[in-house]
Amino acid sequence: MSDEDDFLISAFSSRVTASREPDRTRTQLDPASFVQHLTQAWINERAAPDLLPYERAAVDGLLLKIEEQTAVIDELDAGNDTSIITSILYQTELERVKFVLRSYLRTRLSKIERFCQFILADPASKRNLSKGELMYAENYLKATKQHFQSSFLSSLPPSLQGQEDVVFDRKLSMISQPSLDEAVFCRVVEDIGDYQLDEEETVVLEVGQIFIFRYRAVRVLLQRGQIELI
Amino acid sequence: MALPRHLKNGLTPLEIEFLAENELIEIAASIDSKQNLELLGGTLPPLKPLQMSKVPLWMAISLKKKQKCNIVVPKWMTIDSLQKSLKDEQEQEVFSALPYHYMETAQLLLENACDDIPSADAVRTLLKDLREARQSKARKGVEALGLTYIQMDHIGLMEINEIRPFFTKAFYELQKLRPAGDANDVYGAPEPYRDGSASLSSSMLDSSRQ
Repeated sequence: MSDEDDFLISAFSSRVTASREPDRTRTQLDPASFVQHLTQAWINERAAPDLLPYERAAVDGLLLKIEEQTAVIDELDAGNDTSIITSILYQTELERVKFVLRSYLRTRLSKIERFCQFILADPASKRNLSKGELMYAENYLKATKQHFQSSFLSSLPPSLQGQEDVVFDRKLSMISQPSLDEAVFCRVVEDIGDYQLDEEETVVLEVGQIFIFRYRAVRVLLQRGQIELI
Repeated sequence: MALPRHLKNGLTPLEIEFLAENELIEIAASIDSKQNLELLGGTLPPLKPLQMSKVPLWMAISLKKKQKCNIVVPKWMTIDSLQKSLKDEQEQEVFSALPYHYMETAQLLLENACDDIPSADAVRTLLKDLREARQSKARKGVEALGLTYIQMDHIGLMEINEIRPFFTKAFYELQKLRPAGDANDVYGAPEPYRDGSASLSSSMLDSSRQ
């Protein structure tokens, strides 16, 4: 398990230098808030039914900081008592941050696997993928398609071989899609005032309040960072 | 699988405890760290013996286990304050204003720093009473399930997790019964994906155009 995790992280970190394009979604993040930012992104990702934008700035920034911190810890290992304790504290924190990072990436991968074809076909979702994730999604789709084809579809009549069939005008599709009508718990992080949930209902949103909403109704607030999922 | 199945429905209690450990707490350290603690999540001023410092809970517990600090019980976790919260809890309709991570924090402190908590047993009993009062309140939320939204201020994260599986499922199913105009869009595809059977190929065109 942990070998696989380390592989995940190193595979992503090797691309750090390659992805220097500016972050579309957010303005500059303070390096000190990377951890906090990514932790919330992890919780959001776990709670949201669809794939959220990739937190490139925070992930890349943290990978660099993790490397630096590892070097600092190596230098600390002197003989005296204080540095031993400091080193233990640093290492504990490092492991905690790595845990969040791994869980974040894995949560995204699980969604990518589940909604693979949908994400690749929908430009808005596709934009939310990192370069590595895009590669993963494309390969995953190719591999599963090939596998289904060779393991059983090829022995069915050609009319039953489709993997993207749609009936009833898209009401029933073979391609799994995230359901935006799922209920989510969320906390308001800035005063928003009146907010229109649907045709009939409005609600006043103030900092600190906790609600259950239909994800579709508040998706735009999440994108703007005005609420966080919990 | 990228993510085990049991992790797919919200956070696990252990993960919630993990998040609670990020909260700050006051300690009286018995060591001198001599330098700032440069953590990834920010810089902490040096720990000095007999001086109060604010540190994340995980650090407090780690130091406590090595007997390098005493933890100062947070104000809301004193007997007086808990009694008041319990009274509020029983008298008011809404949740009393306890910290978001009160349950996990209390649990972690009682487990790891029992000797720093004056009359720990009484605290434990009060917390249990509080929890029960709040639990029944949370369950009352079921009555509101048919509405467009439910408001639950001051509910703790651990408490949310207890009601999450049932509430989200029931809320979702009940929404489907609402005869709203968008009710025919059961699958909830985002805009570019919604109309017509040809949308798969057309959205592929879109992406190539960009």
